[in-house]
Amino acid sequence: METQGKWLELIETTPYGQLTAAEVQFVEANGGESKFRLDQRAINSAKDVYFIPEPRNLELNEKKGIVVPLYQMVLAVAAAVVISFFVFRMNDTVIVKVNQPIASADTVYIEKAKVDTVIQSETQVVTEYIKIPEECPTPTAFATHSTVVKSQPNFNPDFSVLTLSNSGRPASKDETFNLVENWTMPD
Amino acid sequence: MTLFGKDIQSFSDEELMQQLSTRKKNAALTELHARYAKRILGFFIRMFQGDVQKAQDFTQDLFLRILERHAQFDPTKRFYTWMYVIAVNMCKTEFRKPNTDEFSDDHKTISAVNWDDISLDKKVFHAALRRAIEELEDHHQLTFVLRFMQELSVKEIAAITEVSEGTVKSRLHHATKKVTAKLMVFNPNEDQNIFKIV
Repeated sequence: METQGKWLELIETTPYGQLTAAEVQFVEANGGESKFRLDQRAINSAKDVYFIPEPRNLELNEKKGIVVPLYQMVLAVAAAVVISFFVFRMNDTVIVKVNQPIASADTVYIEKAKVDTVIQSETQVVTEYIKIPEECPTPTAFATHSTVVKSQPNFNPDFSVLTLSNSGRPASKDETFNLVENWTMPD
Repeated sequence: MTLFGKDIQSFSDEELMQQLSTRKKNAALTELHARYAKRILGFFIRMFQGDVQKAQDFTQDLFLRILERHAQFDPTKRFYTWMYVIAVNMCKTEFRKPNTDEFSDDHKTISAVNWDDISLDKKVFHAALRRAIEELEDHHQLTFVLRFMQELSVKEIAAITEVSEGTVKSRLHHATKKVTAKLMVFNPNEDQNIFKIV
């Protein structure tokens, strides 16, 4: 590669007679004087093997407006009028009547209901206990009733008539329990 | 001719390229044509083996392409190299086309030197040299033409042909070797051998 470059450089720049001793030695080792001179002659003559004439002038594509004489324009318009007159006159128009109903409505309405409200219901159950006070019969009244019961074996006492005076009292304070045999008061 | 009050001939190539996007594009392109048309014509004549008519057409086409593609030009680079890149690409495209006029050289205007001005030895040598150059492979011919006929530097050729400088030197070496191999008859030593009486 280096040899190629050096050979090229020498044949392009230096005539054989002006080579240094080292260069002459290089040339002799790579082809000799005759090859050197022939290469030099070829590259020096290369640009003269074709005759180069003068180039043509540059032709630019400039867009120029088309000039139409006035009389030609008038003639063209007149010709167009005459031709169109004959053309439209020769054309017969055919009208065909069709006894067929044509759709009276050409508009279609489409209704579309959109519901976007959601009702949510919730049932809440509230339980409430109501305490109803009871009326207890007085011992006296109870005794009266007991007598009645004894006399009438199938008697159903009517407790509704009793007045329960002990209602709301604790059992420990109720004298009625004292009438019960072997009753022991709870602690 | 003046452009913006300045002599157009004082514009650099790159400045003229910038003018191609203005109203003064025709003046700028005409100036570029005046500077390089002959050189480019020479290049095309050498690449198309002396076909002057074809080379003239290609030269026209090249400058119209410069006008069309001026927006692609990088003003930081040399116009000269860019112009050669377009020219080389045009040649490559042309070489790729199938050769349809191989046997119809009659219509061609072949460039020829004025034979009266040179000696017989030179005439023969030039004819042989021309044939040897025309028989080179395309890439060798292109490199040889650009270096020894268009006188471009190795660096410029490398930029135009998009190869390394080493490759350009190698191609030049091989091209020269192939050309001179066909000119051995003109080698003084070979003459001695030819006419040597054994």
